[in-house]
Amino acid sequence: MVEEKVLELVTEIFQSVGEDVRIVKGRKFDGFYVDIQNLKEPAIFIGKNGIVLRSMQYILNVYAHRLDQNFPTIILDVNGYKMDQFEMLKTIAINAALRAKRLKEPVELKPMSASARRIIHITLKNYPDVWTRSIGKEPRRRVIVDVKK
Amino acid sequence: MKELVEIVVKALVDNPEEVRIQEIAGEQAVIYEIKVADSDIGKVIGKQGKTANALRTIVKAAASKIGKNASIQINSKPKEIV
Repeated sequence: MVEEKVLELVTEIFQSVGEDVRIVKGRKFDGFYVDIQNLKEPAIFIGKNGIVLRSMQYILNVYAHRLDQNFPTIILDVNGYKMDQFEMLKTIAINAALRAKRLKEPVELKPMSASARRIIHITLKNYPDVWTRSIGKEPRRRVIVDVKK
Repeated sequence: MKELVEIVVKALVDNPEEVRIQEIAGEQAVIYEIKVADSDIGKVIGKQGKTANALRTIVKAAASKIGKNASIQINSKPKEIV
């Protein structure tokens, strides 16, 4: 199975640099979530602005999608950091929905990255009476939460 | 370190048995010469070099753990002497 092969590759990569990690996996946000725990030097693995973590996530996605085009997007995390961010974004999404419903007008969120916007859209996809869309150009692209007419 | 490069490159190509990694180590710098099957070059480089850049970032990070500056070269041909 592709899932096992991905986890195997992650384990091998860390072993090769002398890290004995613990891996927690699960399905989250329409993707395959992989959290790396027990790193001796998490800062090196995350890198400036998360660049090393992103690179590794990219390689894992190339690998997985070469094996199976329909494999879900891999979300690689360290010590649950992204998960905490997800929870924060979910709260922002729900607050915006409540506010839009109360004011009966669209609520514009602050500019966010594509992955952050995605969390907002997914969170409110099945939320009653509101719908979401993104406006503006990168890097100022942002989500609008609007009430359904 | 060489093992890391090998594991990642092999995961990217269709012909892992043709992957050769050569490590050229200096005092502060280390170069990894990556050789893959010609048909796999595109896979290692990726669209607009995205895969190669990701690989470079990972290798550089791992090398910084031991205080070295690492670089990678993909299927480089020996330089011709003019």
